[in-house]
Amino acid sequence: MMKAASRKIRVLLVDDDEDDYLIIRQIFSKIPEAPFSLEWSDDYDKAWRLIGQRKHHLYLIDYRLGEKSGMDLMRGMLPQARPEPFIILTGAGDRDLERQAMREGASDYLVKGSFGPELLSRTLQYAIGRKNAEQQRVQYLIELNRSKDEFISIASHQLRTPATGVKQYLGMVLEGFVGEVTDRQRDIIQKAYQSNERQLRIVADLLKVAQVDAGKIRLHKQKVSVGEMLGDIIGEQADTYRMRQQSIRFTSPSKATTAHIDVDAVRMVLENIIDNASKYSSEGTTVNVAVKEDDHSFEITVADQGVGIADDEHAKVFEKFSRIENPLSTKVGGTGLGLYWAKKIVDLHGGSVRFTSEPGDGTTFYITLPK
Amino acid sequence: MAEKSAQTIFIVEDDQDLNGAYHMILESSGYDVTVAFNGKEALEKLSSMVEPPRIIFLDLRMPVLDGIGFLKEYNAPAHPETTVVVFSNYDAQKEVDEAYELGASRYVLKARATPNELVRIVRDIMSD
Ligand SMILES: Nc1ncnc2c1ncn2[C@@H]1O[C@H](COP(=O)(O)OP(=O)(O)OP(=O)(O)O)[C@@H](O)[C@H]1O
Ligand SMILES: [Mg+2]
Repeated sequence: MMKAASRKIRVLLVDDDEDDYLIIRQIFSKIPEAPFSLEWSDDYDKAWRLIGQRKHHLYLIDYRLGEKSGMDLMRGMLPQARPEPFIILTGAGDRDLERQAMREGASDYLVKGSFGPELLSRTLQYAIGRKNAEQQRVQYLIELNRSKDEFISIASHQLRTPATGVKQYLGMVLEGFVGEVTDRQRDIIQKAYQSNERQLRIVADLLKVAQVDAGKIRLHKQKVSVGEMLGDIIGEQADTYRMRQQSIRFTSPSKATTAHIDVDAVRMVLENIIDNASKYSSEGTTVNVAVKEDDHSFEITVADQGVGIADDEHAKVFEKFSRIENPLSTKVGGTGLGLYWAKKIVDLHGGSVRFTSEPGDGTTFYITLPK
Repeated sequence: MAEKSAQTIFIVEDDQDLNGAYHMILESSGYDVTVAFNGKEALEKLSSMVEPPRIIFLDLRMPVLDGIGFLKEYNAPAHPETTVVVFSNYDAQKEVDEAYELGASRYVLKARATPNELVRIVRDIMSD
C-alpha cells in the first residue's frame, strides 16, 4: 500500500462528469481536519491503470461512466481479492442498483446529491475499517492454513519413525537375520510387513503433498532420456502387471527424446499414472504407453482398457484425496493423492496433464512437458 | 591399525527402537557397533574411542545436539578415515544439502532401507 509519508487517506474518485467532481471536492473540503486527499480520474481506462498501481486507500466510483459502468470497473478488479474498498456513487432512488453494487462486492454506496461532509466521511472511514477487519480475518485464515500444512508435516514425520522401526524388526525376520521361520510364520510376517509398507507409502504421499502445498518443492532439473526413463518404470512394474494378468506395451520414440526435467519427480508422476492404468483395469487388458514430440515439448500417453471415468466425475480426478467409486476401487488401495501431486509437479515444469475417458472402455492420460 | 577396530560402526540415532534395530542388524552381520542417542553423546564417545569408527550413521533430528550441530563440532574433513552417512527420515533437501557441505558423503532415507540394504551400504563403504 502506501508509504507513511502522508498520513492522509488517499481517495480516488472515478467520475466522468467534472461538475460532479467539483461538488464532491467541495464536500470533501468541509470535512473537519481534512483526513482525506482526493484525486480525480475522468475516464475508465485511466482509472483502470491507477487502480492497478494501488496507490490509493479507497475508490469512489460513479456508476455511470461513459459506455462502461462503474460496476464493470469494480468487477474487473475482483473486489473480493483487494484490500482497498470500493464505494459506488449512484443516482437518487436506484434501489436495484444499490443492491447489485453490494452484491458485487462494493463496500457501500452513496447517493449523489444526498450526502454532506459528515455522511461522506463516516461512510469512507467505516468502509476502510470493515476492509481492515476483513483483511485480518484473511490473514488469520492464511495462518490457519499454514499451521494445518505444518501439522500434517509434523504428524507424518512422527508416524514415520515407529513405522520405520516395524519395517526394520520385521525385515530382520524376513531377511533371515534371526534364523529360520516356518512358511506359515513367514506368510503372516510378510502380511504385516506389507501393511506397514502401505502405511509408509501413505505417510510419504502426505509429506509430498504437504511439501507442494507449502510451496517447498524445488525442481532439480537434469537432461534425461525419456525413453529410458519410461523403459525403467515399465520394467519395475512388470511384476504387478503380470500378477494382474495384464500386458503393457511401450512404443519407444524413434529417435532419442531427451528432456530437461526433475527425473525423480517426473518418475513418480509416471509411476502413479502407469500404476493407475493397471489398478483400474481388469485382467486380460493391455496398457499402451507411447511418446510423441515436437520441437519444444514431448507428450507421453498412457492408454488403458479399464473401467474408465464417468463424465460427471472428471472434475474430481485431480483433487486431493479424491477417489472415484468404480467396480475396482474397493479392491485396489490408494489415498487419492497421486494425481493431485502429479498435476502440481507437471504444472511446476510448465507442462500439462489431462485425460479422455470412455466409461467401460478405458482411459487415456496425456502428459505434456516442455523439453 | 587393528583389523577389528577399523571395522567399528557408530550409530547416532535418538529413537530407542530404531537404534536397537540398527545395532542388532549390524552386529549380527559381524560388525563392532557403538551407539549414541544424540550429537553431544556422540562427540563424547568419539573422544574416548581408541580408534576412530569406519562409518558413522548420523540421524539429523535429535534432541540435545542434532546431526547438523554434531557435524559442525566434529569437523568431518579432519577425519578422512571415517565415512559419515546421513540417516534421516526427513526428505528435507536443505538439511541434507547442509550435511553434505559439512562433510557427510551419503544419504539414506531410513523409511526406505531394509536391513539387507543397510548391510549392503556398509559393505560398499568398507570395500572402498
Ligand atoms: N486410469 C484410470 N482409470 C480409471 N480411473 C482412474 C484412472 N486413474 C485414476 N482414476 C481415478 O482417479 C482417482 C484418483 O487417482 P489417484 O492416482 O490420485 O489416486 P489413487 O490411485 O486412488 O491413490 P494413490 O494416491 O495411491 O495414487 C482414483 O481413485 C480413480 O478413481
Ligand atoms: Mg494412483
